[in-house]
Amino acid sequence: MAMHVIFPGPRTTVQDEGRFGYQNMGFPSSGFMDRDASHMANVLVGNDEWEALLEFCLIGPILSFDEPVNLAVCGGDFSLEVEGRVYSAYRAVHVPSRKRVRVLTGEVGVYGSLAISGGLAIPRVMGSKSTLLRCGIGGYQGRALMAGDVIPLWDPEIGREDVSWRAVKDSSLELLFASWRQEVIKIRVIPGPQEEMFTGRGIETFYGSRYQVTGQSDRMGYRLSGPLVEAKQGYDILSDGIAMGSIQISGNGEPIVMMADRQTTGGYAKIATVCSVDLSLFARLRPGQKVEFVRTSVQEAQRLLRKQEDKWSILCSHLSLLDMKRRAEKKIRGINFTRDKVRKGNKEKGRSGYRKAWRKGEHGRRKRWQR
Amino acid sequence: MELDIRPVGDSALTIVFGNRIAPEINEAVARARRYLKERGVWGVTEYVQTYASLMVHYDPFRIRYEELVFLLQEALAEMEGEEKEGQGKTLLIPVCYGGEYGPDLDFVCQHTGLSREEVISRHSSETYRIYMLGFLPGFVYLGGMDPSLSTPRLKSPRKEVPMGAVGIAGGQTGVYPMASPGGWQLIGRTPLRLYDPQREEAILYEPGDFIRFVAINEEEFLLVQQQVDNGTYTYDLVREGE
Repeated sequence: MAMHVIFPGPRTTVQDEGRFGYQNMGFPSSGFMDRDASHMANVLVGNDEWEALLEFCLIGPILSFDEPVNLAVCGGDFSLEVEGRVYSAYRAVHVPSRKRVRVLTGEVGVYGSLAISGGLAIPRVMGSKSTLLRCGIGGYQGRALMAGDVIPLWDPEIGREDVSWRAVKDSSLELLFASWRQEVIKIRVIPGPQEEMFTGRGIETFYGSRYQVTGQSDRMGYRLSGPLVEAKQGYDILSDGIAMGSIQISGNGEPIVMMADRQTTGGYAKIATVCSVDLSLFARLRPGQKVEFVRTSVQEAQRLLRKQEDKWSILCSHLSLLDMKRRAEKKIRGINFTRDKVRKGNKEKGRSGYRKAWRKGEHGRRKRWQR
Repeated sequence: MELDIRPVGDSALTIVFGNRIAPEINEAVARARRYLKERGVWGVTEYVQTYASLMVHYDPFRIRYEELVFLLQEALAEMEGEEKEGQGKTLLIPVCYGGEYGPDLDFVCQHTGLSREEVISRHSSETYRIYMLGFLPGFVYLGGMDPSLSTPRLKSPRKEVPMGAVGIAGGQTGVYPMASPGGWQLIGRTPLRLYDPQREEAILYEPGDFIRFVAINEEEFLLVQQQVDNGTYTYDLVREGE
């Protein structure tokens, strides 16, 4: 049971939650650039949030699958095209076997998260399936995907059930995309750890100006251009640790926001760190979009995180309830069929027969979805 | 005990022990890391040791910033009260100096005015402290190199420095755990696989440990390389007092 890469996209890698516990040895934590989108994509197809998925940069892959699967793409207004029909992002799409799936790019988002039901059956390296491209570690053979790659998947059973009721409402999506499309986005940051190295004027400039995302941005960090941030005595510090979202002011006085594949240590002063709650939003910004930094306390940042987690829990339980409701409906209408009859039914009958057969066949797969 | 603790975002903080490169400051960081890791602190996911500070990554859903600061202060105060444990281990790294393994050795001799034997002797007679790892997985920031060996970096960096290359850059020395572009003056190479994801300890050392280079000839290099490939090589780890 495998996924075939027909066209990989310029930079598509396997990523999961990240490689943790090895930063002390110099291993970047890697993992999802857009954590919120990745969690959402995984949950929509029925995976655990942290499951490995395909992360692409702007242009997504063209794939086909040996067996039916459920896919979901999140992180921007990407779409999935299957058999001539186009499906929006933020919904589960059921893809039949051996049919081409194409990812289309819209106006919003950079790193798209494409989740596949059941996850990817590739080995972990140091506890993670995330790819560290720079060192050829992890993911699929330590590199970005290439045309012709055949990537093993788990459990064909889990993809047979069409779960396309798992979707974010179109109206909500519109609002979401509109908010990411704004010309200036406010990003909340926590000051430090080297704020005292900057002059009062420098700090004022940093919080009072607009900075533009440049094209020199990648998984290691996003370079911003804008008014120089003045320091008291240069920007060099004794190398210390770097967290995801750390904002370094480099030699030319402009900010760089450190992202998933950042080096673990660095010698430039850090004026602030992006709040976790805004990191995913920041990752979605395209070159040309501008940001304004908003000073926030660590207490407020953590309060916002907890609030977001509450919302997330509600969303997940809502999806779970929806699952139970839809499956209950199906059971009432269908009859118990064996798997062979379902397959036979697919071949012999027309479109309506196909649908009836699917409905009837899914009773055996219930257990997994009840997680 | 008043600790300089600062938040680094909402999922990490840093404990600053000093502001210069000094063995005693780094040892304080190393000791704190070892102690906290062994004792276990609620909510902490990992520690990153650097020259003079310790970064603590934590899960903000399990513990809040102020709570963690309190726990860390308590734990480190406890540590002060306890007897100092031994320092980190010393790893012996065999190095074949010069020739094809050290293409820049002649340049270093020229620049420093020392003979080959002198350079090799001075380089391999020190026990270097590993202040921290960074830049690449397993890339060591070593302290204690003899200043007389100081040589500036290459004017234009090499596209690929081979895995195991031992070099000098300015007043620093180190070794490349994996192939990478680099501007260091390469004086030798080790047959050891410093980074091996298949091994239980992917990297053989950690910050706070020590490294000694041991000069070997080409024959021995090839022999050790074979043993490393077979998995039969035993790494020389020396603990304090042995």
